[in-house]
Amino acid sequence: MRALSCLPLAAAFSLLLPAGNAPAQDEDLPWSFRPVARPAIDPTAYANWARDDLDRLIAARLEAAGLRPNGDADRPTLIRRAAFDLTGLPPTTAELDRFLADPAPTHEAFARVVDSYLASPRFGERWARHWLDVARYADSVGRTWNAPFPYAWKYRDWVIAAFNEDKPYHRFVAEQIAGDLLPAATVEQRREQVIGTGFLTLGSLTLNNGGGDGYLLDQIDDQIDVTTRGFLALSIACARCHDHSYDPVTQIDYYALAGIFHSSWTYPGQAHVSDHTAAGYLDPEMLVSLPTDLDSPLKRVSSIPSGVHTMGDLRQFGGKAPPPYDLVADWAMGMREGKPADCELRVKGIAYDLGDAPPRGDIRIPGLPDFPPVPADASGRLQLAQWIASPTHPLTARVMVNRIWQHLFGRGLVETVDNFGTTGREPSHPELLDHLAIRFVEGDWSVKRLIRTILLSRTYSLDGSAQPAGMEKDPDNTLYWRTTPRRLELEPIRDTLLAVSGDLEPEPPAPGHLAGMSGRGNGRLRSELGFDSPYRTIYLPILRDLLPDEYATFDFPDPSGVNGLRHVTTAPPQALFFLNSRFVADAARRTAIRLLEGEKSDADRIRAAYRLILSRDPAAAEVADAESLMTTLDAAGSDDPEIHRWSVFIQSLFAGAEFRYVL
Amino acid sequence: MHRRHFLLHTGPAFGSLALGALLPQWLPSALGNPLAPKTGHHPAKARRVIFLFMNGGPSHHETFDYRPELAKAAASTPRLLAPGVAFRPAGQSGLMISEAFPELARHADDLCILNGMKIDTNGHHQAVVRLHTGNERFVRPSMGSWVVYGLGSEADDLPGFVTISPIADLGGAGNYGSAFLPASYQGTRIAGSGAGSVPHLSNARLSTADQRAQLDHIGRSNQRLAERFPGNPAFDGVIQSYEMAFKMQTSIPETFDLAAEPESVRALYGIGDGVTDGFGSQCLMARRLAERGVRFIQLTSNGWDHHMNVAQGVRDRAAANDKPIAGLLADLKQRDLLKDTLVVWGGEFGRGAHEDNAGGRGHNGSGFTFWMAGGGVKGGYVHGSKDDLGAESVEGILNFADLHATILHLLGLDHERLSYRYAGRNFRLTDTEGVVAQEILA
Repeated sequence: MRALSCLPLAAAFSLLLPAGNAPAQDEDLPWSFRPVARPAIDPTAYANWARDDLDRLIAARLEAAGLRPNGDADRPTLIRRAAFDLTGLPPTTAELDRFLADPAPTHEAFARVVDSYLASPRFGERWARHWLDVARYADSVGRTWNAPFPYAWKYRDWVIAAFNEDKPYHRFVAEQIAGDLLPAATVEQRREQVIGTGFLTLGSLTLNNGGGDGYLLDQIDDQIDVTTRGFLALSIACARCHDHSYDPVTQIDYYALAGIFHSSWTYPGQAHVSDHTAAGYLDPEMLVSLPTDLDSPLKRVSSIPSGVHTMGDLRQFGGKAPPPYDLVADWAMGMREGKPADCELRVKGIAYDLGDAPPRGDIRIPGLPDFPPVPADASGRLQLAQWIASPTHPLTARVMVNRIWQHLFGRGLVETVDNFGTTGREPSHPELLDHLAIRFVEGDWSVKRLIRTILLSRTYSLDGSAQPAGMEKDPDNTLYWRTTPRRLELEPIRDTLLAVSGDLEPEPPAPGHLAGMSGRGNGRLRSELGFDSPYRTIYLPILRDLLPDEYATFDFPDPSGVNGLRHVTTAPPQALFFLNSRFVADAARRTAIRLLEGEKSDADRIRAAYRLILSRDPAAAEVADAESLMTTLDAAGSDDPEIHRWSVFIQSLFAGAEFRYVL
Repeated sequence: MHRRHFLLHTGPAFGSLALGALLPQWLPSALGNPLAPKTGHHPAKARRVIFLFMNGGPSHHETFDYRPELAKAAASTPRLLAPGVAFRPAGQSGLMISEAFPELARHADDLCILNGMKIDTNGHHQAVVRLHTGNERFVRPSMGSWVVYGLGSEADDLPGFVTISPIADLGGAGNYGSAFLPASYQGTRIAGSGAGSVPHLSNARLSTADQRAQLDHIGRSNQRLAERFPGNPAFDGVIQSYEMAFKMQTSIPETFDLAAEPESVRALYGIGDGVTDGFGSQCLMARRLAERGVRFIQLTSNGWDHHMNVAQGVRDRAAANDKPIAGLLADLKQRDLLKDTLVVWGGEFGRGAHEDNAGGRGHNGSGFTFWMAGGGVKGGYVHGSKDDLGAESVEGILNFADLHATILHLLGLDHERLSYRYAGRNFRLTDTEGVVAQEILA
C-alpha cells in the first residue's frame, strides 16, 4: 500500500457531502455528474427485515409502491446462487451437504459459504471475465489482418489475480492506465503494474489501412473509448468528429485526452504496415521488456532470440501449419511514456484536417472534477489515472458498484451499465447507488467487501417465486420484491458441464497456445485450446472473428468493443447444443458413469444426479419421471444400454432450463 | 415507525398461487403456440417480409436517386462530389437506376423507390438500432419480432423470424431480439453458409424415438419450472425453443439444401460465380424460407460505408448483390410469391453531397433512399424527393417510424394497435410516431 502515496487517493471523504444534504442540482448536467450524496438512512427502520442499510433503501421503495417482498430462498437455492455468482461453478456435493447440515441459523451458515467462495481462486476466474467484457479483451487484433496477441494472456492473468487479491479498485484503475508510472516497492510489483497497462493495447485495429496517422488516431480513439466507457461509462469517443450531441462533452475535451495517449507509446506486439521490419505485422519490438530492477527506465524489446516470434519466422514452415509461438518471460504488452506533444483537433474527425491542439488534460466537462495539471515533460497518463481513480469523481465508484450490482441481480441499478450519460437510463434507485458508491470508497475500494455486503443482504436472499401484487405493479421486478432468475453465461454453462462430469482441469493451462497468422489455409491463426479442452473457459484464447459457434449461441459479446452488458437470448440453437452436441453428450456419458460407479440404487442415483447437477433433491414426481424416461428408452444399437439410459437422463437434466438459470 | 413493520413475514408466500388466469400474457403456453398464425387488423397485402439490410449507409447518389443537379453544381463548387456512376432510364416506367445495377434495372417496374427517407442522426449505432427496433435509447423489440408477435408464423417447423449473418456489433443481437416480448418472437440467427453452419443439427447417438422421449422429459421439467416461477417469459421461450429445435433438425437441412434447386434457378441468383455466390446463396435461402412460411427474413450486406471512393465502392458492392437480388425478385415473381412478399432494401442512412475523403462521401441522415417491391406497393414508382443536391429530403418524407408503420400496414397490422403491455404501459414499434405512406400503396 506504500506505493499509493503518489496518488491523492486517500483524499478526505469530507469532500463527499454529509448525510441528507443534497447538492444543488444543475438540471443541464447528466444526473451522473452530480456529486455522490450520502443518503439519510434511519438505522432502526425495517429492523425485522433489513440485514443491511442497502435493504432499508430497497424496503423504502417497496413500501412506497405498496409491495411486500418475497420470503427468503431455501438453502439449496441460496448456495447455488452464491456459488455461481462468486465462482462460476455449482456447489460441490460436499459443499451442499455441509451447508444443509450446518446447525447455525441460515444467515450465519450462509456467511461461511460466502467467505469460502470469496477466498477461492475460482472467484477471480469468475469476476475477471466480467471485467474482460468491459476491457474488450481478446488474443488477436481482429479486422483485416487478425494478427495474434501472443502476450495478451499476461493481462488476463493480471486481472484474475487482481480480483483474487482484492486489489483496491482505485489501484486497479490506476495500474491499467499508468501502471508503468506508479512507484513500486518490489521488482515483481513493478513488472505487474506494467502488465496492467496491457489494458490500453488490446484495441481492434486495421493493421493495413491507408497511410498518414489514421492508424495512430484509431488506436488513440480505442484507448479513449475503453478508458472513458470502461471506467466512467461516458462515450467521449463520440466527440472525435463533433461536439457530443447529448452530453456536455466537446471535441476539445476529446483532443485534450487524445494528447495524453498521443504522448505515450503503445506496445501491442504488432506493427502497422507503414512501420514494418522483417517481422511484419507481428513484431516483438513492439512489446515492452519487463523491468528487472526498480529504477531503470522501461524499455521496449530490442533483440529477438531465435524461435517462432514474428510473422517473418513463419516463413520457414512454408505451407505447413506452424507450431505455437515461443514465449519470452520478460516480454509483455504495455505502455511507455512517449514524446510529450498535444494532439491537434481534427475537424470533423478527418485525419488531415488539423485544428488547434488543446493542452493535454485540458478537459472541461462541466460538473466533473478539475483535471490535475499535466507537467510539460509528462504524457498526462498519471494525471488521467489520478483524475479517474479519485474518491470525488462522481462517476468512477458509481460505475463500478453498478457493474457489480448487475452481475449479482441481472440488471444494473443503471441498466445501461456502459452509459451514464444523458442517453443512458437513469438509476432505478439513485440513493442506493450513491450509498453503495460511498461505502465502496470508504471500504478502501474493496470489491470483495462490497460483494460480500450484497450477498449477505436480505435483498439478495429473496425467493424467486411470483406474487400477484408484484406481477401486477412491477412485473419487471425493478423494485426487487423477488429475485429474478438469471440465465448463466457461456462460461459457467461450459465450466459446469466439465465440472460435474469430473473432467474440469482446475489449474490454468500453461500459456502459449496461439499459432499462425490471419487468413486461410494451414498457416492461419489458430488456438490450440479448443472448446473441448478441459480448462475453464476464461483460459481459452479469444480470437476475434474466429470464436467457436457456441460463443454466439450463448450471447458472448463482441470482443472488439466495450460490452459491460451481455444480451440474453433464448433460441433453438441453444436447444440444439444441449440435444446434439458432442460436448454435452460426452459430459452426460461421463457423469452417468460416475453415478453408476458411485451409487447402488436407481433412486439414489437419480437423487445424486439432481444434487450434483441442480444442487437440490428431486421431488417424488421428478424421480418417477426420470424412471419412466429410462424405462421408455429403447437404447437400440447402444453398446451399453445402462450407460445409454443414464446418459440420456443426465443429458435431459443439462438440457432443462433450470440448469442454465440461477434461481 | 410501526407502519414499516409491514415487511415482516406476516403474509403468505405467494409463489404457489396460480397466476395463469390472472396474467395470461406472460404465459404464452396457456394460450397455445405463440407462433400460431394470427389474423391482422385489416386485410393484408403482404404475408411476409424480406428485408435486405445494407449495412453502412449506401449512397443514394450512386444507386437509386438520380441527381443531375448535383453533377452540375459539383462542376463549379469545390468539395461537392458529382455522382460517380451514370444513371439510365429502365423499364416501361423509365425509372432512373444507376448502371451499377443492370440486373435490378430489369425489375424497375416492380420497384417503389422511396427518396424521402430521413433520420436525425449520423451515427451508425443509433441509426442501425433505430432502423431495427425503432428506438436506440432503450432496448426494444425488433421489427421482425413485432411482426411475428402480431401475425405468428405460417411455418411450424422453422422459426418465424430468421436473420442470416446479422452484424455482431452496432446493437448486435438486440437488432433481432425480442426485448420484453416473449422470447419465442426473437429472430434466429443463421450463418450465410446455410444448414452446414447451423451447429448440432443432427444426433447420431439417439434414435428419433429416444430423442422424442428425452425431449418430452425435458419439456415436462421445463413446464414444472415455469409453473414454479410464473412471470418469466424466458422459461416459456426455452420450452418453445426445444420444440422448434426438434423440428429444425429435419427442416433446416431440407430448407438450406440449395443443391436441390435446378441449375437454372441457381444460375438466376449468381450461385457458382465467385462474386455473387455468397449473397446469391443467401437470397435463394430467403426465397426457400419465404415459401415455407417464415414471416420475417432478413439478409445483411456489409461494406456500404464508403467514406472513400464511393463510386468504386458502390460498383463493388453492386457487383456482389445486383444479380442475387434481381434473381430473388424474378424467382419470387415466377412462383407468384412476389405479390404477397414485401421486399425492402435500404441501410441506416445515406451519404452526403460533399466529398469526405478521396472521392468518398460522409454519413447523411437528412436524406437517403430505400426501395420496396412486391407485397402491395406500387411498382415503377418514385415517392418523395430531396433538395437539388440530394442532401435533404423535402417531399414524401419518411422516417423509420413511418417506414415501420407502412410495413406493418402492408402486413395487415395497424401500428397504433399492435401494442404490448409492459411495466404499466402499452409499447408500440412506432412509439408515438409513424404515418403510413398511403401514396405508395398499390
